Amino acid sequence: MNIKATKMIRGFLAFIATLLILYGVQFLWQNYSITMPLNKELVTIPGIQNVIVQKPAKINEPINISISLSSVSNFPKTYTEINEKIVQTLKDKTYVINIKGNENEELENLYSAISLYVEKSLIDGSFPTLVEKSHELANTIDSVANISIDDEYIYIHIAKGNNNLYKLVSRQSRGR
Amino acid sequence: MIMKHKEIIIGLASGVSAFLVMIGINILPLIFFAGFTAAIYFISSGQLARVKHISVGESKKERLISFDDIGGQEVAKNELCEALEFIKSNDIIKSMGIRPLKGILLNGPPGTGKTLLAKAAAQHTNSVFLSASGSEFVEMYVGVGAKRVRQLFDQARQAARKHNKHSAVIFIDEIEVLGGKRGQNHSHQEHDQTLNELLVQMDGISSDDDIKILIIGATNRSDLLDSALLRPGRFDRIVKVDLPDKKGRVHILKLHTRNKPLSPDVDIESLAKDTFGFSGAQLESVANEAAILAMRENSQLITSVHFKNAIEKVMMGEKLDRLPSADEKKRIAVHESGHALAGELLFPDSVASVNVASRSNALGYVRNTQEDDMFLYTYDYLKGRIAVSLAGTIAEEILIGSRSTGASSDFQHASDLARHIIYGGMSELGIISTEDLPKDKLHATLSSILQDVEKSTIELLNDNIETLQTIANELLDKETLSGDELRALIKLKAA
Repeated sequence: MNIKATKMIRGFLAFIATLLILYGVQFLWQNYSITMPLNKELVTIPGIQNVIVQKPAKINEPINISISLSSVSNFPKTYTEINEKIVQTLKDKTYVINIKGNENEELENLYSAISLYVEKSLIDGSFPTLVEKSHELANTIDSVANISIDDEYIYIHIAKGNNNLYKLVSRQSRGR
Repeated sequence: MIMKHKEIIIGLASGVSAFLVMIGINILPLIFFAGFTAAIYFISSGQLARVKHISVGESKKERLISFDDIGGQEVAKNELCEALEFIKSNDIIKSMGIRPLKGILLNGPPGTGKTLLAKAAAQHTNSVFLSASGSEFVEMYVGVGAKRVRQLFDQARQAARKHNKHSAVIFIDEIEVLGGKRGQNHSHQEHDQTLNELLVQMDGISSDDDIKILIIGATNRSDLLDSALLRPGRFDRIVKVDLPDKKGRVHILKLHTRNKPLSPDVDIESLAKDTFGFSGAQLESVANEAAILAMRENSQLITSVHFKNAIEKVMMGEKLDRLPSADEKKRIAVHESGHALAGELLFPDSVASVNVASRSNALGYVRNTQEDDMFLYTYDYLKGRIAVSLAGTIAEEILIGSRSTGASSDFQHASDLARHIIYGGMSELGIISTEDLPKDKLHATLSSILQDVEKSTIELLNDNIETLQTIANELLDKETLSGDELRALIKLKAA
């Protein structure tokens, strides 16, 4: 093997080794500075069943935090608690919270029906109508709809038996 | 170290760059910044790049040179070797309290092997060898030359450390450019600063340094050097590297012909005899040209004829196709015959060849040889040489009836020889002071010597006019006569 080929192989091995080391360091850093502290903090909140933290592939992408909730009595309070814990842990990192319940088709259909009033209330501010209509529609299938509103979100919690549907609708823009 | 593992550095840098790109960092500004930094680094280090760096044992292309590979310069070699012992046996010189030699100045004409001696010195002391030319330090910007001197010394130390050596030899060729007398140069501020820096650096060398540095300077104009450079503690030893004597020429020719297929008729001793006044470089050129001539003729061996032609080529230049007219050719033949006949009559066996074939430096020429090198000249010898110089034009006058301009360099040579007679105290003026001799007196004495010799030469040639005619005719016919052929013709006519 000539010197040039040996040098090329050494250079390539250095390249691969560098990538492996850097990715390894990145994995460990994300695990110890994001995933583990988040899990540790969030599982202490009552009602949280499971937390899945999806680490971003790129540095400027937000961290995706999926939280499975069982039945909670006060969804806005639980959400505020979750948000506070995440901010404490992640400091100024960007993140997306994705709240999941154990909804079934019946609850999803109900939410589809309610969403019309949600959209309307976002446009004309008819929140009392939204609450009234939500209760009416929920009663039709013997379920309970709890609608809460603050400056930022409309919190929707629909429960029937053991099934719960949680929706968080931003009053400014969707997605958070 | 960095340059040794260049590929690993490149691999690492590529790996980091690829990782940064993959995690979404824009590395373009980083690349731009790195490129900008690298450009500044290379531009600034490029200033030093002109200082060549050759390390003993580092480059395979660079043939290692030892003192045995250098022919001739026995005296210079011995003197240099003695000086180098101070570097080799540092412990002894420390115990004796000897101050280390800081510099050695090699002084001698061009082509006498000064660079080779410096390289051999590096090899002898197992040192790192750095070479630079004096002109490399000359710059129109103030301070650049001084910076280069500092860089050269730093580079020498770094190179020695890199190669695990304890000493470095810095060779500065044409040192008179850098070390000329201060205050005489037009741009003397920069020039003086450069020289001052060299002096300061040389002063900084001490026996306690972990890397011993020896400066070897080479010059053929030591008279131009600043006295500060020549004082003890700077260039402590001045080694005279002169043109090789006959023994030296034999050695040099043997060295340069050892890898060449020589015909058995080649006699190195006689070649050395024919190449009086040749430098080592010229002798190398003779050996090389002889081999080229042999190759041109598709000859497997280099013969003595090839060597003779090579000597003439090196001495007089390449043969030209330029053809003089018949009259001119006759005049050239007569002129050269005059030189040859006078030469052979006054100094038997001194003519090596007579030629009327044009070469770049002459229309025709007589090549002389001598049994042994001469260092002292007698009155009769000098008069004889003047006669040989004047014989060309006198022969023209005798056989053709007029003189020509072709003899001007002969007259110059004759005048120079006559001046030697006067300055040597051998003329009618007796011992004189060259500086106080009035010009008209010098002229009168010079003319009287030349006229005196001219008369005797006219008589000499007139006495041998038939021989002269025969040689001229033979030369016209053959264009070249060897010394032996010439002597045979003279003998034939004498009989």
